[in-house]
Amino acid sequence: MNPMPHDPPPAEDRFAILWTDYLEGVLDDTGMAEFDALLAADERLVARATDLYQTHRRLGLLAAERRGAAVEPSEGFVVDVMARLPADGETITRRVMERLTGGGRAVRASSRRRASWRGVATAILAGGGVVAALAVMFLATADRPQPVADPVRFASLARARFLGRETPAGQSEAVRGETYVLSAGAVELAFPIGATAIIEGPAVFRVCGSDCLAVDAGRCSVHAPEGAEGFRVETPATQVIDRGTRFVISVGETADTEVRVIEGAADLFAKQGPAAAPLALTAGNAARIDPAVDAGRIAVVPAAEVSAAYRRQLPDRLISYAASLRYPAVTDDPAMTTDPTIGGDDTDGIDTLEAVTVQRGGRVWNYGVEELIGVEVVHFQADRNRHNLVAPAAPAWTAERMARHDLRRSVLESDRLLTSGLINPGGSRVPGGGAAGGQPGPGFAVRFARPVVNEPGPDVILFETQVLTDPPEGDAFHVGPLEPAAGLRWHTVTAYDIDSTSHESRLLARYRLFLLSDTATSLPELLTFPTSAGQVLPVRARCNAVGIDLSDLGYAAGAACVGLFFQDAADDISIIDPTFIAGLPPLPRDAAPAEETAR
Amino acid sequence: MTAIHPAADADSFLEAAIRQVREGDVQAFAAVVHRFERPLRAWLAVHAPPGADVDEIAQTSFVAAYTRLEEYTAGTNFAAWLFTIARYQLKTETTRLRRIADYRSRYAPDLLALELDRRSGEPAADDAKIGFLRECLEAVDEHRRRFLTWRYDEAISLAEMAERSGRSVMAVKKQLWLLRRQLQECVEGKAASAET
Repeated sequence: MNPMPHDPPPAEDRFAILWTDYLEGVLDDTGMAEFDALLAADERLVARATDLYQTHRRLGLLAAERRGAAVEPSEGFVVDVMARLPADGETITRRVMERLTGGGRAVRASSRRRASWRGVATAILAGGGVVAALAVMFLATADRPQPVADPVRFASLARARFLGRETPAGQSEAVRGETYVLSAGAVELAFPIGATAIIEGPAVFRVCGSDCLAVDAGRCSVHAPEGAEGFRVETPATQVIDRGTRFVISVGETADTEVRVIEGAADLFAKQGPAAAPLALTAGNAARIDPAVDAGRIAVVPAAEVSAAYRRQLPDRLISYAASLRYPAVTDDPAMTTDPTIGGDDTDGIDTLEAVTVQRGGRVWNYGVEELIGVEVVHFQADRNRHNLVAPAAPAWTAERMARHDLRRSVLESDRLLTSGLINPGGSRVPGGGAAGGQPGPGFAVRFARPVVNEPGPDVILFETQVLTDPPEGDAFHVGPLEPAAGLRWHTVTAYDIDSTSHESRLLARYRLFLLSDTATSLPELLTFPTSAGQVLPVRARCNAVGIDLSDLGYAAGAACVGLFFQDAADDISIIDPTFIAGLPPLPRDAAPAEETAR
Repeated sequence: MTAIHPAADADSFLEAAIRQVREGDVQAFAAVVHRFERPLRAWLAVHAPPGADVDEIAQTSFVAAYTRLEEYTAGTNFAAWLFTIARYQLKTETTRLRRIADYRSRYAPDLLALELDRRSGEPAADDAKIGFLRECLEAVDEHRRRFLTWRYDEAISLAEMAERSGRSVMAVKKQLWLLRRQLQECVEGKAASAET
């Protein structure tokens, strides 16, 4: 019988067996020594072993790809990287240290030291009971490696607003001991030991250590993965020590506290009353303490009675956008060169949208602007405001050129400028109101270049310019289906994902505001009425943005939307100023939504 | 509409993100990580020796790139710059492993590690080779491909493969050897054809 084409020749038989054993993890010490000797005797075998090793690793990658693990970016990986980025101050310190030590392994070393501490904590916790809990508390406060170098961070924020302070930037440090009053929205805190906590406003909280969060009021969902055992949440009435779990804790105005464990286990202590062993809660258990009734009594209650839902992640939303400056403003007015509202060393701002980052179905997606679904304006009706056109304060956008219909309509539908748009449309207090005489009514309508599919989370994004003197929360508006149908409805947007208080909001380049000769009651009038020469506003503006979920308009999952009608909500004197609207592309069919909350 | 224009290509998106990071927008770095996470991890998987934590090296590489971003010259080849950093990180990790390891029980053969290190300096063609491997796999008949499915998709033991196939463990080992050899030669053949 002839040998098979790839049969190893007799001299290679041993190599083939040893190498296969090695890749399968069954090569013993004797075999390894023999294998080393084989490689040392024939350098061709080294090359062959390396070839086969790399083929072996590529086969593993393809298998991962088939499982879906390598097709889309791993969000966990991205989050891990972002959590490891040093803050500005740390960067400087780190560079100095690297120069001094000639190494760059501080992050890893820190991580490994933490891991060993976790091991100690885990081992102690395995003993259970009060002694273990006290031991963990001692470790948490007494002998933590590098507690200062690993601050607690605001990992992400969703429409978060704080009373009496600016909204922190993503990845910024949460100052230990400082009380934060979260009046609206939600934030996710990342603790250096690996635990995360999502706090939903209204809430009052404090970071009390590298592994400790104090919640005076509000709801908090905690995830302490393996290695983060010992993380604790302090409330006015209780102390909850995590033992590797997910749990939700809700604290009322009178310090009444509810705790529900979703996974794993947690120990619950009452802070008042006679000393007692902790109540050990496991998955599905819930408990309540009401100091107004008995501060020392922990009542075990059916989980169904606990109203707080566990939140696994922040809500779907438009997270951020990338933008650049294409048309720097040109002005001879010295007053325009600086702006007291943003400091004399003014940046030029941005004007061109490059990409957006959106959370849809619990997963984060990045879209280049060319991937978005554009719009065609099909209707426009203003009320009395005749300032309906804005364009960059660059020579190209003169009133003469703005007389061109194609250029004028392009400001909303075909360019990606955030400093051009059709602004100040009409509005109505009642969503969809104001239609008369067969006319669609005040506002404006757009038709998508192709239907937008209703997917989990935002499906349509809207950007608006908001002058710094306008309300920072942005202009409320109604949005409804362009083609009404059974089950569809109007929806009112009252908060922006990125408003003027958000760090993700960007300062816009100066733009020019054009005044129409008469009130535009139709799209043809908007496109043909003569305009003023255009005025560069003395006050700068920021670019706010919001994602619109078609489900809020009654669209079923997977249903297609051909267009939308927008109206200002007419709730104040400030009118919506849209500069960019687009649909998001459909999600890949295998993009299973992540679970957002657990009951 | 008429389409949104002009089309921003991936590179301009990347450069915009880098610019934002330099201007202080830390979150913009997520776009950079998204863009290169998969190719970087794939490259590391193929060039890292057994025992190396590929994800750890990849994350360290991204963090190093972030802290040194001011050294990157805008508009040049960011991918090449990033992969150079990753190669440095890989060498550092390989050296560390070699220092602490008991080669014969816990680490790869030293000569294999040295050869992998040498190859990490060669121009990256991993994406192409993975594509070739995908094509080569399709040419493997289903009867033999099941061994690869068991090994890489289901990760079952040699003994279970032997039981499922009704063959000896030694025969299964030989089959895996032959399949890897065949696929490796197929990939090299396609790579050579692509170069000519």
